[in-house]
Amino acid sequence: MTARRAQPPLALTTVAALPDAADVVVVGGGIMGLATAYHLARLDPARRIVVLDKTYLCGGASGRNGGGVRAQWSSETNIRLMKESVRLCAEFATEMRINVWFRQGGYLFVARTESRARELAASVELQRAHGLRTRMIGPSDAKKLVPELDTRTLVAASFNPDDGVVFPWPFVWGYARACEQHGVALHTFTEVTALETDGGGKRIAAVVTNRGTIRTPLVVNATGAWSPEIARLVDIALPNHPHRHEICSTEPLKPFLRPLVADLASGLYFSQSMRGEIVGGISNENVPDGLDQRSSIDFLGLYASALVEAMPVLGAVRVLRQWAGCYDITPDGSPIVGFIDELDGFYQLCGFMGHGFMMAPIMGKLAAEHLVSGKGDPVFDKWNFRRFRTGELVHETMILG
Amino acid sequence: MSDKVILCRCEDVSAHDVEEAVARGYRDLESVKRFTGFGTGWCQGKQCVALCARLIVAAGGEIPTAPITPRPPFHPVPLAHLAGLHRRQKDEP
Amino acid sequence: MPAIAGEPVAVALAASGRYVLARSVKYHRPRGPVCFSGRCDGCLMRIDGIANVMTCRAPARDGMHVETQNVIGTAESDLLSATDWFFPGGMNHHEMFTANKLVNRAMQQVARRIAGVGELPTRLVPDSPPRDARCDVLVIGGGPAGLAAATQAARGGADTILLEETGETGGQLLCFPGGVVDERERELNAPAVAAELTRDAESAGVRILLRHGAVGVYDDEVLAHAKDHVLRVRAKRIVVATGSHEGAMAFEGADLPGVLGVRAACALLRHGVLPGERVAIVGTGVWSDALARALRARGAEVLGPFAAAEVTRARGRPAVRAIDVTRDGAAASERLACDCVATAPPPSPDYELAEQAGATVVFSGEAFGVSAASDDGATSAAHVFAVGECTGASGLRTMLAQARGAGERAARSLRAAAHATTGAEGGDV
Repeated sequence: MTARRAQPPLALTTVAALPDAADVVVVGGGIMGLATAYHLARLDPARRIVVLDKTYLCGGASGRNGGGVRAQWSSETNIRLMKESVRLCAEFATEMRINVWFRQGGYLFVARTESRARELAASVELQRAHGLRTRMIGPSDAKKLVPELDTRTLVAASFNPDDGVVFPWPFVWGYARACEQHGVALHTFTEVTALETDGGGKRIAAVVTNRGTIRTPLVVNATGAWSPEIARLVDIALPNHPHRHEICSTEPLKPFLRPLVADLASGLYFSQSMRGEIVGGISNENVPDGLDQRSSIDFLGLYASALVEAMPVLGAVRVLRQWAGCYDITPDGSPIVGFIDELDGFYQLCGFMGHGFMMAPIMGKLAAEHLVSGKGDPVFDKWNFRRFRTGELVHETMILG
Repeated sequence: MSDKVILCRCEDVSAHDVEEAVARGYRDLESVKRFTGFGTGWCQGKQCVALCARLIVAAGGEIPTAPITPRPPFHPVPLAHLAGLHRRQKDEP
Repeated sequence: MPAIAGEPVAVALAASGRYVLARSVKYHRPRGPVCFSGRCDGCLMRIDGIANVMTCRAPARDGMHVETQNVIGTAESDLLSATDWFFPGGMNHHEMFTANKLVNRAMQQVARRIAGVGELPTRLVPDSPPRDARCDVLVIGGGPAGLAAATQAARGGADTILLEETGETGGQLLCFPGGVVDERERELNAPAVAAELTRDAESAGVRILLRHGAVGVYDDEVLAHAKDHVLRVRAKRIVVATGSHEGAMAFEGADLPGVLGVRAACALLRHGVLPGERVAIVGTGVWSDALARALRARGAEVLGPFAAAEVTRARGRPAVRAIDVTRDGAAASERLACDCVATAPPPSPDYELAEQAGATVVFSGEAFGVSAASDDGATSAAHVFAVGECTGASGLRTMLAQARGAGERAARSLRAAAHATTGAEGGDV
């Protein structure tokens, strides 16, 4: 017997009429789309910008993630970009005048085998070469950092005290409000049903929604797990696909856990939120195909086993709720960004492998600069869709959850 | 001096908070839940979701067509009792 | 503190006259039990080194160590309640202290320190392996509707399991302090009807699992939590009979300890505990009337029942001591002394498990409830039925008819499916 959830009709919130033309339409009102729209509006106040989202704000991955923000990565590009994003996160509350509860308690990556420890050490060296404060530490130092951690099977760990955790929702609202203050038209509960093209299918001409059509020469695809669907509207076959990742949180406890603890071998990660809940997840390859955001029993078992093994005292602590979201997975672990050679005016900002939330502050800024000046950061070529044709794949391995 | 009208006891969300959320444009149930925090605490909305829905409608927000998505578990369950749930007997279909 | 072995700790505390058990997370307002049925956060305390124990469900034991949590001082007088007075209009946690980075960081550090409720547990709880069960029909909830549905399903030949969260079946009928009219038009006292329904289920062969609370419905399985392990159940049909509970009422001070639901007040009476000497009842209906009669019979003074709109404020610190009432047509409000306020808002159905099973849940204008056929509890999800108060239904006889319809239909559909696959290899029904 399979339980099926009936889909309720979406409430239509027509607080304003949809414009019939715009200079750019950002499809996807998650943090990636909103950050891009915000920076676009600041750089070019005359530009008419519209952001569309098919449900309420925070409905997608931007509202479902664990809020981790880290600069510990294995590739130069990610290290460079995330170093800047961490800095932007630290400024966000006072710049946007909304608390995001960014706590820089650090990330502790643990290694339980020699080979993992060596891989970590190599990443740490690269990170330090870029000016990060990450360092390798031994089991006894890891124990001092997290006394409740069972370090008996620990070989080594890496620790960057500047990595941290935010509370995701106010981030989204902060960008949304700043967008509206800068004249961006934000329309939620507005679904894109078709994209129209001109010139024999060579360039974007309009966005068709359930509330009307907007003529525009530029569409930014910032829809994350939904991005292949959007690209299919213009017969572009993006190679990314959604992959469900589950997450759960416990009852609130008094603060005791300083860093986010992560284990790349199992994909386990957990941290203590500002409200005191332990929030975390773990990798699970056995997931349904497609966009599925339902919770499973198996996840509870996998996560609970790994968590209690890592931190035995948590056995008595109770799970309060579990939920899920979809990572936007690419074949090589790197995002898909920039223009598409085959179609003018169709700009990608997707494939962020479950780490788009933390990358959005810097990526939104860079994307806006690219769109306004025509000159972009090298990532817009390095991570371009064309690499799947030319074979110049770019691998990133430090993926969590 | 008046006292607060608390709707969500677990998270201390007041009637004023809910009205304020609607006034700011967070007009549907799920958005108000996120903006105010109602329904995200210990009881996960058991005590307050109906009351908040009524108040949102009274404040001019959207009439809900569904409740806030009910997340398992219905009651908090210790991690020690969940460990092992993914391991299944071989003869289990 | 004296207690009767096995009675819930929160009941023992109420018997000692104590309603102030905890403090709220943000404003540190005093808190006490509201529902006495595991559907609020008012009774949470630390027991024997384990944080956040729902004392309305924790049986008292000799030598048990019970402590308040999350206070500086005591629950009666928590120093952190200054937050409540400091922010009379409310604290805008989104925007406060965002002008300056240093101040913002300092504010965050303070916020983190005072957040959270319980301390880390001081003892290890060992892992405990899950158990498994299978059946034809799984009924979730052992109140009158659940018992009737299970009985009917079992009589129809279905291998039936019933999960009941508490230690006894009968649900609301166990606490209702009055008479009800049953299916055979007899007027009996409520617990007697509960006992008869339970006997029927037992003799029909229903496997009744007490102290098994269903906590989630997943694709193919229902997960239930027993005291020290979980149970996974695979069933071909599910009947959700989870009932409803009172929910909150909105007036100033409604969150004070001593303000509880009318059903909770009745639950206390059933345990032999008077909820107060002078009890104000807010909200009208069968429960309010029954409670009023039962309280007077035990020598308590009863104010009201008042209509909800007539009560504007509950007063007192740390527990309720008075309410402000503006009677219909009166020019001014009166302050009436009381030591307990029993509220009867529109009931809130427990729709969560049915929703997870795929049934549509709708808003009636008053509350959310499972959308189910009135004659047999059929929902929008194949193989899922919902009966009783969780569908927004009321009235014992109506709900029993619906429940029996569901049990019968579930059993009949299983018999039909079994006939259809006779001779074939297995097959999913």
